[in-house]
Amino acid sequence: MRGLPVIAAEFRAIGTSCRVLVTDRAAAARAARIAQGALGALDQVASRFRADSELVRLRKDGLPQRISPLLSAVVAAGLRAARLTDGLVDPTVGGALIDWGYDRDLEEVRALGDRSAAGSCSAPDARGVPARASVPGWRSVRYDETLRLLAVPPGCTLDFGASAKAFAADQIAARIGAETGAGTLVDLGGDIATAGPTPPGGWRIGVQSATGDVLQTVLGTGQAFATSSTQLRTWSCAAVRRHHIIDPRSGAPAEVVWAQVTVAGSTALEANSASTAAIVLGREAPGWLVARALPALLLGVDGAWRHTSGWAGREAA
Amino acid sequence: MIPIVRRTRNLTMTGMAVGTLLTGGLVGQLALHQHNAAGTTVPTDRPSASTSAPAGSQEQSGSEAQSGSKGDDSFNQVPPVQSGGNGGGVDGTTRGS
Repeated sequence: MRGLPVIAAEFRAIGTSCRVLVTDRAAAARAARIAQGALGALDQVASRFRADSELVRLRKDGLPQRISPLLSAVVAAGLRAARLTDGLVDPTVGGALIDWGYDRDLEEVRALGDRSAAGSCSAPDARGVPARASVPGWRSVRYDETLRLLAVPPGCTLDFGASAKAFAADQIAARIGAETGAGTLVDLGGDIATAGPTPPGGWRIGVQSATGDVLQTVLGTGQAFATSSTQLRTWSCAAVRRHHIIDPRSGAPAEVVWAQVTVAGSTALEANSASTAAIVLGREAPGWLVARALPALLLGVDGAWRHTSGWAGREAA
Repeated sequence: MIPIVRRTRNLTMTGMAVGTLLTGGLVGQLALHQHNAAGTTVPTDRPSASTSAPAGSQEQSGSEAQSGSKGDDSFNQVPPVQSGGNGGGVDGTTRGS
């Protein structure tokens, strides 16, 4: 049957969940294979937590090194996120994340308890900033996409966490759509990309809060969606709850103004870049999103929510 | 002007590749700086090609401009997001991870 979406695959990969829907049942098996293969390959090259990943094994001597086509695409996506946001999203925050205690898979971090006690989180100064936290800045990374040459400066740890996930959602959706002709939705850990024909009425997208409640259901008609949260990927460092979105300007987790921000973009990469930047910007986020005409729904830590003009108002329950 | 710039870039790309192969990076690094200096097609409000902009982005920007896209460094416009109403299932769930 063509038209109504069917679930092609649901599985866990790269530390999160993946769900693939297609509008043509005959495309489901192929769609599942594409998604599983793509995420397996991504984990192998871009994981920050695998000792054998290409990302971890990169030289950090400031000299050009040739990287694989897949890592090259991931790097390009991460640097594009930095350009889109004027550096509010920065792939060189990896060292700061480690300094704040996020130095391994999150479940392992939590299992270790307070990271200052574990010795991984530097003792913070009076402002709450660990002694070593620093962000070299995305402009310190030199990269030539044509030759796939990447130069990582000494002391720089790259982290493509969010942008790589969004990039993967975009790539997988596009590939399934191109190879099968089916309408495709890829939900990769909350980053949603679509390709091909839209089902009647549009893709139904739920915006979920950290507690699991669906705040709103919206219709996807060609947009991609991403949500950044300060409430879920958290751990304890120096007896304070920390979250994973580093403000590159301070080297510390961004001030918690918003519980979460959801943005619609032309791609999941753009949506994710904007939602992450909004968390970093805090109170300045609404104006920044409006200036870029990005539809967005923002939920404050006080429970109040607001949306930009391109985002449908929430209906009374 | 454009063909000259492209020839210059191709030349520096070749130098960078050869340099990397021959010296493990030193000459390649030099070529990278040369590429930066030759990158006159990169608008001044963009970071230099050697620091971040993917090579070839200039060629892309021309076609994107024709299609109405804002280019590699700007967010593309998206249609407004409509409500899906209350109730009913969802195909995907956007959430923080």
